[in-house]
Amino acid sequence: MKKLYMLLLICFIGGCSETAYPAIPTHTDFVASLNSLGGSIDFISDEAEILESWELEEAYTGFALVKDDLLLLYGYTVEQAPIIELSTGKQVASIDVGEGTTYAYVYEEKVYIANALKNTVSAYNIKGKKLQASSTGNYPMAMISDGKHIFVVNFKDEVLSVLSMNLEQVDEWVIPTSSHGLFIQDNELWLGGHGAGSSPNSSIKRINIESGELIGEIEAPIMPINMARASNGHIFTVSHGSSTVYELSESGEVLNSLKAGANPFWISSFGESMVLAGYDDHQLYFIQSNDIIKKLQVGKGPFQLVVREVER
Amino acid sequence: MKKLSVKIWMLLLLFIAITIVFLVIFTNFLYEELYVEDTETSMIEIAVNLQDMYNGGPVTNEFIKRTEDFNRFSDMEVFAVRNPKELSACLPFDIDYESLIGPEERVQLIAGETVIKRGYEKRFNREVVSVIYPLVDENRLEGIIYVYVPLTKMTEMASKDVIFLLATVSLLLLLMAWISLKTVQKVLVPLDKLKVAANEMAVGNYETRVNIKSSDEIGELAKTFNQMATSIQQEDEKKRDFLSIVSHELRTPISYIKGYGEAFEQGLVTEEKKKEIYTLIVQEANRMQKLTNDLLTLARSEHHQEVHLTPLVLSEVVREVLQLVKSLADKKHIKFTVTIDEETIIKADEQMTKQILINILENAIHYSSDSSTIIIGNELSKKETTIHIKDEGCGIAPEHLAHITERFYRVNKARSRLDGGTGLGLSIASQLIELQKGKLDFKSEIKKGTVAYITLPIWEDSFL
Repeated sequence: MKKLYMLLLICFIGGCSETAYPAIPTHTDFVASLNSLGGSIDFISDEAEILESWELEEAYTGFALVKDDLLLLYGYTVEQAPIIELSTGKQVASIDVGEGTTYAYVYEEKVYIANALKNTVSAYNIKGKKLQASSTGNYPMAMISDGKHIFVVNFKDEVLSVLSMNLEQVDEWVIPTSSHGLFIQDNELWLGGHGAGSSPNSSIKRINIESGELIGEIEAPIMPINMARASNGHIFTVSHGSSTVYELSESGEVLNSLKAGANPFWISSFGESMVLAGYDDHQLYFIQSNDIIKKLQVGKGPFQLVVREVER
Repeated sequence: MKKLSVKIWMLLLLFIAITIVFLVIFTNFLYEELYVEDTETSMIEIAVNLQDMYNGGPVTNEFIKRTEDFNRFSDMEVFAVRNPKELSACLPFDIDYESLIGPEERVQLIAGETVIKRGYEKRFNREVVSVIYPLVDENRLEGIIYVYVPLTKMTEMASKDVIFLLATVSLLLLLMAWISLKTVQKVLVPLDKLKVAANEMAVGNYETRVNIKSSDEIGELAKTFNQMATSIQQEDEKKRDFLSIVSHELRTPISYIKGYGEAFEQGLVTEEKKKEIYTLIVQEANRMQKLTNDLLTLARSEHHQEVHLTPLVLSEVVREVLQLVKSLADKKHIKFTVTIDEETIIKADEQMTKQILINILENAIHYSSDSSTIIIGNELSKKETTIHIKDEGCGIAPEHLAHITERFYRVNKARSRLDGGTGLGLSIASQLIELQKGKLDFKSEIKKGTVAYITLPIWEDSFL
């Protein structure tokens, strides 16, 4: 009897303390949707079927693939950003980011975390060790890197911070407030946004990536805030204010537009499809050749997408 | 101690204040509940009409214009909004912008539900009632129809002109206070008069009367007070009269006795006169004795003497009494005819009943002429019997008949002493009958005689 109790105790301490998520097989391609309202992540196959769903215990607002098998989770109100091994579903590391995380960007196994409470961007290795940090403008959020610099959009500021890969301050470019959505096309930095004050933004700003000079604008009403490159090289942008997806040529011409989703915030390229996350209607839209080929109901409030396409 | 007028006045003031407060609250309530509810209904109607005009897709400029046109015909503010920023479309982002609708409202609207709000709206910087209808196309919140009406609250109205309102209310209160004070005073002045009159009465001024003409309760009270004062005054006068009569009645025999005594003392009485004078002295002494006895009986009966009610055979009592008055009757050769029912048993005090019958019979004998007849009989009713004693005397005039039971009342003032009565006999009889819950009545005809009716309760067990 005593032995049974001991066994139960060991099971309780050892087995139950570490919660594991359902595992995702290593060689499976997926598009994952983080549903911020429902607090879940849905992993969806290239057949547009849900492979697995994770119920999240913390209020995570974003995620990023660190490596093909490592997924980083973060949230504005969550102090720890865990790194989960997808093949086992277990947490392998945790980054002590503190409250205020708005965005994570991974470049060559280095994790860049923007913190809007401290107004900093910090770099960590995949073990969770902090490498560098730099202060930014007010409310840093969206980030992108061309390999030489890391560009940080300060959401509640009128400047974009240009940092070196080691997080040294390089430059500051003037941008509209409430800007969001970055994309690098040749030597141009494309920048979307919600627009300042009551007037919604309708265009994508084309900025010279070297000088920060505004080269031009691409009209994509209303509120273009996310961009992704399709397999054919075209750029797709999503405007959440009008729930419209625009297909742009590499030179920035609008080729097609399609009304899709309800208040979509994210678009990603997955195989031959573009996948769109409709925040208000809780659906993912699979788009090919300017047509919605499939709709898929996911958890409440799909806000961000992550795509893993494993090379076979 | 506060005066009654102050108390009533303060109570009135309290009521007025409570009424004003209640009215303010009630008006506010009515305003909120009825007016606002009614407004909401009309707002919903407008919103529904406008919503019907929406055919899906993006909200067009034309639709917005048509919505705004509505403002021209309506006293409500109506507009359509399609700006996603106003619709909280950037919700997951921490946007530095106060949108027109909040996150929860957005969820409700996307679900196709109507949002009805009542309260302060920062955008309009005032209290409003608003009705928001969604314009939804395939789960997409393309826009909203926003209808609102400013809630011009009582307080808001007041805040515009607080001083004016305060002054008005204060003036109203002062006016009410003054009117109520005057009213209370007017109502209570008669009470003050009554108090003064009661004080006057207390010090012996029985002629005091209150002059209040009103016909309300206080007027009634004043009337009753005046009646009471009259009664007290009459009683007082009676008391004085009684005392003067008593002293007069006593003085006469005393003066006789004194006069004859002095005559004896001075040897003025001749031997042959002595016997006559002794008889006179004894007669006067008897008279005094009778008078004092009568007075004692009267005093006792007035002080609610104890009554021992027992079953009495009426015929027996009458026979015994006739024995007692026989000598008096014989002097005048008066005969009695008795037709008393032998079975009648009365419920009465024996001594008192005998005294009553003696007094009435003595009276009858006194006023009967010689050799006449006195008839005594009785009649039975369900619960009582009436004994009637009929004489053939001189009779009593109607104006005197009502007064003959009053003390010392004499029909013929001149016959005061000669008839030998004290003037208290009928008064005593009347009081003793009253003590036994009976009645005494007289009927009389001048020159023909008088009938006395004595009604007394019968012993009801006698019928069992």
